[in-house]
Amino acid sequence: MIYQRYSAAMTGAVHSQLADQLLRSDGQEDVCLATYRPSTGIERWSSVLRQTVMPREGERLVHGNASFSTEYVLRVAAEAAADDCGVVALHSHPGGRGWQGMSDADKATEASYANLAREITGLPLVGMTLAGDQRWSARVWDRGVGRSIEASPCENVRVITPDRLRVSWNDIVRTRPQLGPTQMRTVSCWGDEAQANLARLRVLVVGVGSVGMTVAVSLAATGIEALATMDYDTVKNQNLDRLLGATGLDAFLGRSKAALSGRLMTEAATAQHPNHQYWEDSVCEPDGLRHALDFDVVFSCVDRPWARYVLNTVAYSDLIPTIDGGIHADPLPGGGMRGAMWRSHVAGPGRICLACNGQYHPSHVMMEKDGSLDDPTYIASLANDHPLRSRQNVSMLSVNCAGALLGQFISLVIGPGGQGDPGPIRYHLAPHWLQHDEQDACIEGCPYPRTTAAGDFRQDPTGSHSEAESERGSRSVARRNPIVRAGRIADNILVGARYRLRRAAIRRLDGQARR
Amino acid sequence: MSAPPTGLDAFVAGLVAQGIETARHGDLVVYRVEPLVGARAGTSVATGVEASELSGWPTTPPHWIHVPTDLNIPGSQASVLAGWCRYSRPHPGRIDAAPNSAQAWVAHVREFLGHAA
Repeated sequence: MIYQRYSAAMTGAVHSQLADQLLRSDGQEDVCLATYRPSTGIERWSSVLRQTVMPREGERLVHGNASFSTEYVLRVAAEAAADDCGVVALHSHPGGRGWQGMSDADKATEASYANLAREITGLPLVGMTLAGDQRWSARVWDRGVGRSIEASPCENVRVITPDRLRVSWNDIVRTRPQLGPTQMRTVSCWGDEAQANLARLRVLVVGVGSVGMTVAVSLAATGIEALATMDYDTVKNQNLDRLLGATGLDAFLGRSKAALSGRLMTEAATAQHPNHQYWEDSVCEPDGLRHALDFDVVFSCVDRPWARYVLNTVAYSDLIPTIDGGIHADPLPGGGMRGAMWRSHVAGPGRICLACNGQYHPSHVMMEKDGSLDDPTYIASLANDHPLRSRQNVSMLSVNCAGALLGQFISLVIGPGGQGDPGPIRYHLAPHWLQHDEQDACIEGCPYPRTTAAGDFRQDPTGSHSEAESERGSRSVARRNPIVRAGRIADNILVGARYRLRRAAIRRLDGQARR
Repeated sequence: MSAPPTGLDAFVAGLVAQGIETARHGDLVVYRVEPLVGARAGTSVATGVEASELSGWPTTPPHWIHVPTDLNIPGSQASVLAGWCRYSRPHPGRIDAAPNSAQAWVAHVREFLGHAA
């Protein structure tokens, strides 16, 4: 198993237990073990820490360089195997700051148990180090066997607390982004360190409709390097009153919303080395979910229950915070507007899930899966005020909702004034009232908190998504039309020329700035 | 920390735990319940759920309730099983968070069967 990238993640509760054990009051190094579940994306393999298993009397030695006993490793490996987990070996560098390298003694210790742990659990040993500033570093002992076993370094370690996402970065594997003159105003808002953290996050926007497109373009302009979008839908005439950057030409040529987002992100990007991608998948499809597992944060800009269910699942099982929101417009029956409301919240461990805060109903997921929500006869049979019928939207409302989601993101990642994400909030347009939801935890019995750190052993929320297949199929058919085909070729040439012109202009502007 | 069992097997096990036997008829998982009210109150009535709808049980409960056509409840669609029909009856509550999801589902079906003629 060799992946392009490796990462580790844990909840704030697990971090606190480990920090209490490893950062001793006497300043000595200490060790302990934990279990993890794998979380396997397409390019990234993450170890999601599940449980700490503290040493019993005599199971570890603390003598400057602390060490495990073989009995301790065997005990924890057996417990891990029984729970479909792997083993994490942790030690501290109390005097260290930031991402820690490995001394020869550290390497020898972890290597000596790597084969044993893998033999018993079937999963590679993960080594982790906690520095005195509470920053983590991690590696995965997955290369080679016997005495030639080697570790692959992780690019980051993510700690998801009830209100923050704190990420420790491996500056060698994931280098700090170069800051360009185009980002001066952004960096002046929160400083180099916050920008270096923010810009390195891998961020996925699922659903690039009126809200998601605005979110994606804003993230690209802010300098996020690894940014991706996912949407199976097509730009249509009826989207043009709300979809940022979409034109009648896009609708005529049958552009996917994902492809449009790719073009807009490229044009808006300020990162020196942007790696922006888009996929025409549904996150409800197996490949869509696997793409999502490659990311540190996901924006849920969808309006259907199944996609929300999928993203709600991975927020807990794979410790990937999901920033979700939505708009509810309330027109009067005879014309006019009673009001509108947009809401935003973050789902993940320690927070209320999307089912408990009413963003989707579990019973509606199967209705979408079986095609009922795309059956006009079925929809017509629903009551006029049924949430599944509500399709009203206005561009000016979407921008507000996108702003609310981005505000949650800033609070989650940067924590202005030391304050993290505020919990679920709603903005009511008519009275211009910002409401903090009173219910900020899941209802009793909710299954999602119980699935925290389940990793690849989550209940599979995906399946064959006939609506996504149908939409992609319709685009393929439309592209066979000779006029559409010729139009797409001409448009691609113009977009390419504009891209080259823009790059040339940026080089000139950069040159002027340096002079 | 460990999550309870899920899917078709968990649904069947939940019914069996309530003393309800199940059988497969093609794609349907068929079982019998006694409505408490209506024309069929106190009698054992066959009902079923499509197996494919149970892959996400109990986090995503089934949408359709299948019954024999002779129950004469209005608003039906064709079922996957000959002589049966189906009804769109999503569970209105949080069945995934119920202390006993199978019991909550049976209560939902029992209430629906109260409309049988």
